Amino acid sequence: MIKHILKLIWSQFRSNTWVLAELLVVFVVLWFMTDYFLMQGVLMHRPVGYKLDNVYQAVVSLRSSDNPSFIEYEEGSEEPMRNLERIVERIRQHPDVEVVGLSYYSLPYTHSNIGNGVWRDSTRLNIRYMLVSPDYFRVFGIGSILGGSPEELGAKLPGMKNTTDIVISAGIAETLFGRTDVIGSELYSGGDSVPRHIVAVTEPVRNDEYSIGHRHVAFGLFSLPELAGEEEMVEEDLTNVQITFRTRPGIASADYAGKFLREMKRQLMAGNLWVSDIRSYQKVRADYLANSPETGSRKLFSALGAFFLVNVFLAVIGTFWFRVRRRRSELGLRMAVGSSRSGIQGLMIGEGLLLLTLAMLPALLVCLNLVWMDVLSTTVMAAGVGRFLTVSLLTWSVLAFVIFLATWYPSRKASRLEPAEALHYE
Amino acid sequence: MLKIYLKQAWNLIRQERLFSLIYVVGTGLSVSMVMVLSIVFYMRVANIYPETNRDRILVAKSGTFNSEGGGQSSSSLSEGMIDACFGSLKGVEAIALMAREDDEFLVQPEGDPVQLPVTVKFVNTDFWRVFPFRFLEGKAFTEADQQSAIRTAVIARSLAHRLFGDEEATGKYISVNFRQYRVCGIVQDASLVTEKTYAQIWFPYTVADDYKPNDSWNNTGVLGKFNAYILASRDTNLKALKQEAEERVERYGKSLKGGTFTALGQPDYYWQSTFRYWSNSAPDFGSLLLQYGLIVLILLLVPSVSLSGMTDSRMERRLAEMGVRRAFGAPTGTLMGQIISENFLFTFLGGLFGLLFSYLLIYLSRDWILQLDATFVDVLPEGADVVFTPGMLMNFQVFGIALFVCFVLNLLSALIPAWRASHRQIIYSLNAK
Repeated sequence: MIKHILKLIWSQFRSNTWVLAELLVVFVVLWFMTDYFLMQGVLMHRPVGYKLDNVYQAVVSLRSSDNPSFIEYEEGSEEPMRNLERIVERIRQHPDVEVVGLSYYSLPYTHSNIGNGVWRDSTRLNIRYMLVSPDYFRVFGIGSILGGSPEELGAKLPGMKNTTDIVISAGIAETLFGRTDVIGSELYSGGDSVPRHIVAVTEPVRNDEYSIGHRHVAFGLFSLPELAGEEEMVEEDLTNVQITFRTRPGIASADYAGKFLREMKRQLMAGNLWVSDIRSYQKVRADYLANSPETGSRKLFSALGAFFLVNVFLAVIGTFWFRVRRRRSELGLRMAVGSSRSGIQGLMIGEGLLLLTLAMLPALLVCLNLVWMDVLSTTVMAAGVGRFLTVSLLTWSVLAFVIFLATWYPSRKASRLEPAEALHYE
Repeated sequence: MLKIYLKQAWNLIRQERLFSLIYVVGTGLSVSMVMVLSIVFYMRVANIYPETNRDRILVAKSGTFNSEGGGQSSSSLSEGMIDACFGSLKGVEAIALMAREDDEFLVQPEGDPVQLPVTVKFVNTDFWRVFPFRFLEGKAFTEADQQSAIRTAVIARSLAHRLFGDEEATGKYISVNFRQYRVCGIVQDASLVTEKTYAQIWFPYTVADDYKPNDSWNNTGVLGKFNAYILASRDTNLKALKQEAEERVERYGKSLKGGTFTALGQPDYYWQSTFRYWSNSAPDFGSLLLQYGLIVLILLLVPSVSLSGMTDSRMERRLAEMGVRRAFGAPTGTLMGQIISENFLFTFLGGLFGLLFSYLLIYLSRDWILQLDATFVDVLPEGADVVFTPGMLMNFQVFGIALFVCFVLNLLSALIPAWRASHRQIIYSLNAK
C-alpha cells in the first residue's frame, strides 16, 4: 500500500512540490513552537510549593502626612512598630483565622525580592533570600522535604538567631549537592568567612509557575523589632512588611476578602497604619500570571501556530481539490476493478499523510542541525534524544490531524464518483 | 481589457464557490497578520491625538554615567542635562519634560469614601505645546504656576465628568493623595494607545513631593528622573537637528567632572524611541528592522506558497483555454498579465476580508498587542481600557499598506503559476481538454 502511494506521489511530483515545500517550512516552524509549548507545559506542571487555598494577604498602608488625623511620632519611637503588631494581633484574634505569617519582600507571585549568593566549593549560586516568620510555613503549607510538617519547619527558625544555621529549599540542595538529604552539610553565604550549617531542607518552592531562577531559596528569620530598629528606618518602610494569613477550612467564599475587610476595617487601623486591602492569594496569583510576559508570548505563539496550521490546511485542500477532478478517470478505473469507496478515500488521505512524512525527513534534518547549533533553550530541560523524538512526534501528529481534515472532503468527493461517469472521461 | 479579465475572474469565483472561498480566506488570513503588525506599528509612530507632532519630535529618555572610579549608573535624565544639551539648540520650538513617577495616586472624590486610582503625569508648560491636547475648558497651568510650584492640575474630561458631573470644573479643587489642587483646565481624553502622554491628571512637575531645583541622581549632575521630548519647528531638518543634538550631548558628556556621560545615540527619532527600553544599552535598529522584515516576509511567504499551489491547480483546469488562446497567437506576456490581474481580484477580496479581520484581532487583543515586543508587560492602569478611534484604524496610510501587501502577495502567489501555465507546450495545453 505505502509503496503504491509512494509511486503515485512520485508520478505527480510536479503538482506535489508546492505542498511539499509548504510542509517542509511549516514543519520546522511548528517543531520549534511545539517545543516551546512542551517546555512551558513541563515548567508549569512542576510544583510551585505554595498552597494558596484559603490564604489572604492584608495590605498595610500609611496615612498621608497631610491627613488631619496623622500622628507625628518622635524619632526612634517604637510606637509605629507597636501599631503594626496591633494590626497583626487583631487579625490573629479573628475567629476565622488559623494562622498569620509575616515576611519581608518574600512572597510568591511578586516581582520584588532579596537576592543573595551561596558558595559550595567553587560553585556559586544566586539565590533568593526570604525573611519570614515561623508561621509563614504554616500559612503556605510548606513542609520539609523529609516529610516534616510546616510547624516543625517553623520551629527551626527562632533557634537560628546568631548561629551559623541556615534553612534552604530543595532547589538549592539539588543544584549544589545533587541530592536533598543534606542536613548538616556546609555552604558559604555571600561574604561569610565561616561556613553555614544546613539545619533543614524545605519542599521545592518557586516564585511562580514560570520561574526557573527563583527556585533557589534560603530562609531566614524575620523579626519586626529588628527591622524597626534599623538605622534610617522610616515609618513608611513598615508598609513593606507583608502580612498573610490562612483561614480555617470551609470558610472561604467568593467574596470572603471583601467581607473580611468590611467587617474588620475599623479594627485594622492603628496609629497611622491601616489595612487598605485584603486580597485573596489565588487572585494575586491569577493577576501575576495574567500580566507576566510569558502569558503574552504564549498568546502570540498560539496565534502564529494557528496561522501556520490554517495555511497547511489551505495548501493541502487546494492541492487535493483539483487533483480529484484531474484523476477522475483513474479513480473510475480503480472502482471498476473493485476498489471500494472507503478504499478510495483511504488512498487519498494516505497520500496526504505520506506527503507529510516525506516532508518531515528533510525538515527533521533541519531541526536537528538547529538543535546542534544550540538554538534550543535548555533552561527547563536539556536537549536530549527523548525531547527531540517527543517534539517530532507531537508535531507530526498535529500536522497529520490538519491534513486529515483537509483531505477528508476532497477524498469523500472522489469516493462518491459514479464509476460509469468517471470512466466516461477516459 | 481589464474589465473582461475581471468579469471572467468573477465568473470563475462563482463556478467554484467553496474553492474561491478557501482561497479568499487564505489570502485574508495572511493579509490580516501583516496588517495587525502594520497597524500596531502605525499606532506607535504615526501622528495620533494628542501626539500629533510625532514626526517632528526627538526623544531623549535616558543616559549612562561612567564614573572615574569605574562605577556605572544609568537612568533617566536630569533637568540640568536637558537644559545644557538641548536648551540652546536652533530650530527647536519647545521641549517637553516628563518626570518618571512610580508612586500610586488616588483621588478622593468629595462626599464619597471610595478613592479612585488615577494615572498621573508630571510635566512642564511646554508639554502642552509639544503635545497639542484639545482644551475643552480653561487652559494649561502657567509658567508662574510652574515656577512657584502652585498646586494646579489639568484633568481629563472623563475624570472631570466623574468628579463634577456636568458642572464647570475649572477653578474647582480636587484632592489627590489628600492634597488639594486647583483645576485649571480640562482636556479631551487621550487613549492608552499614546501611553507616553496618557494620564487623567497632569501636574506641573515642580509640585512633585521630591522635586528640588537642579536635583540629580546621586549628585552625578546628569541623571535624574526626566524624559525630554524635543519639538523641532516646521522648517527644521530633523536629521540635521538630531546630529547637532547628538554632538552636543557628546561634548557635554566629556566635559563633566568625575566621569563621562553618554546618551547612547539619543535623542532618537520618535519611532526609534519606542524600541528603547533600557537606559544602559542601545537597541540595534539595523537588526531590529531586519528582524521585523523577516517576520513580515515569513508571514507573506508561507501563505503564498499554499496560495501558489491553489492557483496552480486552478490553472491546470484552464490549460485548454490557454492552449486555444496561444494557438490563435496570444503572446505569453499577455497571458501572464491576464492571469495575474485576474488573480488580483481574488487577492483584493482576500485583502478586504483580511483588513476587517485584523481590526477584529486588534480589538480583541487590545490590552496586550500594543506591547507586542516588550520584554516585560506594563500592567494597564486600573479601570483603563485601550480605546481605538476610527481614525487610528481607518486612514489612507493603513489602506495604502493593505493595498501594497495585496500587490506583493498577489505577485508572490500568482507569478510562478502564471509562468508555468503560459509556457506549457501548446499541443499539451490543447490536449488537456
